[in-house]
Amino acid sequence: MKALEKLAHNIAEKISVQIACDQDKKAVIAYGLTAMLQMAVIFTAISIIGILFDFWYESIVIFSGVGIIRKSTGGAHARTMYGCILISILSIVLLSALSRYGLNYPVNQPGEFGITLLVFLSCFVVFYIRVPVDSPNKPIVKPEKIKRLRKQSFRILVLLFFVSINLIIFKGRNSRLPSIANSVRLTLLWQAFTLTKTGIRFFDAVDSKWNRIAEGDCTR
Amino acid sequence: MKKRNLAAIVAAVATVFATTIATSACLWYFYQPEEPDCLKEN
Repeated sequence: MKALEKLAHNIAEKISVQIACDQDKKAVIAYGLTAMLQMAVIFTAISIIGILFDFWYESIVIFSGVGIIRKSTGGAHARTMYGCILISILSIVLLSALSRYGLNYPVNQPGEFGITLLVFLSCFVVFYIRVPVDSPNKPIVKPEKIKRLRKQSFRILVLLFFVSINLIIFKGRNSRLPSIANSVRLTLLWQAFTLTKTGIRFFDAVDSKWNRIAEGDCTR
Repeated sequence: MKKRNLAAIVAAVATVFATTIATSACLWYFYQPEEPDCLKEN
């Protein structure tokens, strides 16, 4: 998937010639384009799979949820764009299928509130201990930034807690709301997992395996 | 002229994306390319 980064750099190169900008500006454009292309590829893939298997709404909730939370919490990273896109698509598809079909059993309202509270409390503990989790390519060292990101993370967590509660209260109004509520809870659990040391090791293992397969070396 | 305008629009959108990412903990998903030096201060 280096092709995507190369594509971003090629487009940035062409743009910089057109608008006559310096090297710094070109690097910023390439960086922004890499993010946009990454999002576009993941969005397109999960949309096609989601529409085919009828869990598009759940996929979009998980795709947006993980993206929004990660911006303040950080988390485990794949070493390559290839690993990232594969892990992203696989995780979104699996979690969406689980939300829509796997966790589709009837639970009464107090039970749903209890599960939601448990999920949010566990995430609160993980966030409190681990946020922000940085990466070697983007270290977070400034105390003000750490403080700001921690605050943002807890705000998003509280916001999603209220969204979940509302989804449970109004679940009778639309048959899709229970599985959307499942998606919100699974998004948080998955994101909390990527913040833990076990999650980071899991990412490393999956990423290495995929990269070896991509490079055609399945012997190790 | 049209090509230049399109390039300017794409450059503007990409710059907004890049600066938004610079103030956050990481890129949208699980891959983080090296950040350009001029954004590292954020």
